[in-house]
Amino acid sequence: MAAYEMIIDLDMCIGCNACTMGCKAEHGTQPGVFWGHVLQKEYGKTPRATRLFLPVLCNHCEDAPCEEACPTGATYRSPDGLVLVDYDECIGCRACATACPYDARWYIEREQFYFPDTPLPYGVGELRGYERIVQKCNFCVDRLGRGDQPRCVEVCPTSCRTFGNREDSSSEVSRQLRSERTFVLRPEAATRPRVRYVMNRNLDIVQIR
Amino acid sequence: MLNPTRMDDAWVSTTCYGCFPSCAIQIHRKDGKLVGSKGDPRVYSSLGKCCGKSLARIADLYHPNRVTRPLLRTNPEKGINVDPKWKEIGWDEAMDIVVERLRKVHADDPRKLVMASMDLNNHFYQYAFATAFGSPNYAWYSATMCGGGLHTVLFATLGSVNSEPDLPRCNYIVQWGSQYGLGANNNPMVGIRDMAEARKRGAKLVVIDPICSHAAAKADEWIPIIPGTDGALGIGVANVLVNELGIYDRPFLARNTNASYLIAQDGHYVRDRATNKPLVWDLAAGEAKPYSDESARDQALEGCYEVEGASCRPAFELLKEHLKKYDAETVSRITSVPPDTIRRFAREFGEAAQIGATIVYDGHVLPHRPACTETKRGGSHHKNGFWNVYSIILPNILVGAMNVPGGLLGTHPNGPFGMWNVTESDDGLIVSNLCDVMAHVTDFISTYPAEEVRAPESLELMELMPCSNFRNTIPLLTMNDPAKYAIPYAPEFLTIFRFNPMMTTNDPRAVADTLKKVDFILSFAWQIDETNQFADLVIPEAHDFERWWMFPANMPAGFISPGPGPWYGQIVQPVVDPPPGVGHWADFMMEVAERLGIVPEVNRLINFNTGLVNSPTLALDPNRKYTTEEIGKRTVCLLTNDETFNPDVFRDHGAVHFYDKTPQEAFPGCFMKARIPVYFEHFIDAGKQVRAMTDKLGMEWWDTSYYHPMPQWHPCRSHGIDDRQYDLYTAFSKAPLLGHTISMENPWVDDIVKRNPLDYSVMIHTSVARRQNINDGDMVWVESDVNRVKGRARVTECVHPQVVATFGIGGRWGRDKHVSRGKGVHLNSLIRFDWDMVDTLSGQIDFCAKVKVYKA
Repeated sequence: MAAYEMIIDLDMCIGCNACTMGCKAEHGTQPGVFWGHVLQKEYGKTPRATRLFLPVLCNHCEDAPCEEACPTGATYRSPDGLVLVDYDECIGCRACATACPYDARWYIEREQFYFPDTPLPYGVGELRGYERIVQKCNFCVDRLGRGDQPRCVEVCPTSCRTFGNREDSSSEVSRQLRSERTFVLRPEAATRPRVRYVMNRNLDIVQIR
Repeated sequence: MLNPTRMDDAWVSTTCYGCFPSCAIQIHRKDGKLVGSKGDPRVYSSLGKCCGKSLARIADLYHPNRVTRPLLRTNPEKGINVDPKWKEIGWDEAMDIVVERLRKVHADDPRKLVMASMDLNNHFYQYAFATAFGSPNYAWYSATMCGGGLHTVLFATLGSVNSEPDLPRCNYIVQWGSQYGLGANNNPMVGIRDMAEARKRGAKLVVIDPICSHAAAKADEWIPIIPGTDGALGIGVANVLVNELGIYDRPFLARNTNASYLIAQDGHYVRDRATNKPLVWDLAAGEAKPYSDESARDQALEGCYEVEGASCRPAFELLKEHLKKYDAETVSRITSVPPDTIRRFAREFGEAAQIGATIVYDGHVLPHRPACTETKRGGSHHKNGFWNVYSIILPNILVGAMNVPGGLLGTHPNGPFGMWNVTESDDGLIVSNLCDVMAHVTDFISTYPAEEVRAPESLELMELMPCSNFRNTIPLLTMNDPAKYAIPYAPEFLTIFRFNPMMTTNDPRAVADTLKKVDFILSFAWQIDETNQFADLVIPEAHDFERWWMFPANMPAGFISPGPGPWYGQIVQPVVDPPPGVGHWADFMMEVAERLGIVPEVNRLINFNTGLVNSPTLALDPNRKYTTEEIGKRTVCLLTNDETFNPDVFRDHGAVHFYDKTPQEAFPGCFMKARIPVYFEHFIDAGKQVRAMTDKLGMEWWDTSYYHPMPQWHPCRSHGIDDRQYDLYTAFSKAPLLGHTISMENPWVDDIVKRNPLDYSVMIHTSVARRQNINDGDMVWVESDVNRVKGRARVTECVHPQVVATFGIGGRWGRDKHVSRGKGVHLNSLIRFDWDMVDTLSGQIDFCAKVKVYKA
């Protein structure tokens, strides 16, 4: 069994949002819905001001509060540790969204399209027709099944994301976990997230937590 | 009717034209529709990566506002936001209208035809049509994108049209009004991966910019600067290097520049009587010798000498003295950069350059100068464009970081393309053949030696700018009042496409005034924008996912990164079918050419400028009309030495991979003898000739004050505004998703951009906001002496305290721009558009404005 983990090097992220767009293209998410996106925040005073680009997505927590909160079992963990949603079981109560410390869940009241009259022929149709449900990043489980990396990892022009099986000591993720100082967002939530970050050299970890 | 072979499930190799750098992509086609795209992992330009804009382009293709039928204007009134009252007409009727109009123009004065676009790769066709027709007015009139100042300087100093820092071998990278490797600029995917690698290994990134741009956000140091004062800082840094630190590459200056040429009292070279070659002072022999004399090994850079009884000094001695006017304190007052920062930056840069160091590359010992400055639009788009850019790269010249490993590299499309070679002028300076090569494609003229000064014939006034090569904004000024510029005709027929000057040039009211004066505007478009609202006839155009292009689609003069790597040629081929009847604009114009009877001349010119003329089997038959598909395939055959077009090459490899560059092709600057000017002696006479001609034409107002031999900082118009109410400057930055106006109308781009805190807003420094009682999120007016625009304030520390700024070009008003309309601000509206904004040396237009900001 794999234990998938993602490491994002904040020093390398240039805030280009190719990952955000790649996610949109892969999953065909509707307007205003971003399973993965990049937060921007500024720090410091001119001329020492800088901007942080912080890619965020579902952290696929090992102790996932969303899974615990879900009354129907729609949210579940795969054997590989992916936190997934069975849209057929989801009743749209949003307990998971409230429980998630990472704001990673998106409630879909009504299906919407970018061009209302002409839905784009993009996306895999995995979401088509589902309403009053909660969606989120699934680490591109379908792509993993085909042996591909998640789309956000594949498209990143700086290759700032590393994804793989941390149980495999020869994987790049394992190597980075050994060699880099990584940290997680909102450690106080104590959910054992599977998304870790390498710090931006311009900033202090404490500042962005 | 969809092509049945396209009703499949396939990944097709092509090239993204979401912006001009041309990344190789693969597009997933299923049942005749696009369903996915990605960077092509097999091609060097992308290696499997592409940007967010590229991924979003499907939304352009299926945009409900696509124009699919010819549209004829029925409302004679033209103006900003005036409804053209389009009437759909048939293709035959559209063709008849165009042909009839052009026949009249042709009979009257063919120069009254103007063709304007930013369609880089199909520009050869625009050139061929206009030239065959008899008009000199064909250019990529893309005011905001390309730099008259930038390209002119790069031709003179690198022999190239474009430049890139040699990131894999650079340790101190200065991005100066540029964001190479950080989401903008040429070869973005190559640059981004090289920049990431360089930063990972510890290279230092310094960004000099009024805005804490995406590049500055990743920089080790951001140096905020007042817009348009870069030149002063560049010269100031040069002064610290030379006069305070004594850091300069003496052998490089003596051998690879004209720093050692002796200058007489009148400013001209001291020349050898026998050979007419400029003289240098040979310290070993204690006498003057022609620079080209092999025995003159120890050429003096400093001192005062006497040749034939007259005293003279090496150019470097003069430069050194001249630089002293730009001491750190003086420069600080101009630029706002503290003197300590100027001195520290200069020292870090100079030390990082490792003067004297070498590197072994493929068996060759080459100089290694791992420090360089690089600029783009931010440095160039000023009234002092030429000297601003030159001064920014002057530190490179002083430390020898030009065209060598680790330094600033020129693009050099030699190798299989054979487009680049540098020769020496009679005076030993760089003469690039690329100007001539590209002159067959667009309106480039040689920057050096100076062209002959003549009475104007072109709308660009190239005849009066003998040392420039690229004057692409000028026609929008001269078309308004040709007589003022001694142009002997007034344009009547304008074709315009892939270019939206109403948004991208200064003051749109001035641009509108020009457009209104043209009798007939023919637009090719796939969406109606602010410019083609002025059109008399709109012909729908195929998206680049629906059409052929010339090969290589990655125009080698800009879109193969310099330095080591492969030579490769990408294709653009249709992935899906265009809407019925819609095609390539050039196919429409080819039919026009046939009706006008100019096909033989068009074909002759295409043969010439594509190189097809060299192949008896591939050259176009003068008497036959060809499609872009046929011409595109022939250009592939030409470069691949194939008899017939073989699509399998692209299916199997994504692109044509020729071979890896040789050391001489990777670092040609290390092998060339021609010298870089540090002293522009030829400007003295060129300026006098321009003065004489303009006086003769009654154009005494023409400014020739830029024609001096050594770099000076000239203030922009904005710097001279002493009305104290206008206390702030405007500045722009590209963001990775906001580069071109066309991306603004993409709903995916918009959906992401509107969530970014700084995008779509007016960035105002905290100190200004406090002073003006402006809170974050307030609506504010930004007002210049030209106009005012309203936008949402973002109070931030990420902008220079004397600057208001925005990302991209917002504030669109196009009636059909459902996505982008009203979002962001259009700061271009605040910038004057008249002759006062022109750098008459390079033809560069100034994008500086002074404004005030207050609560709405």
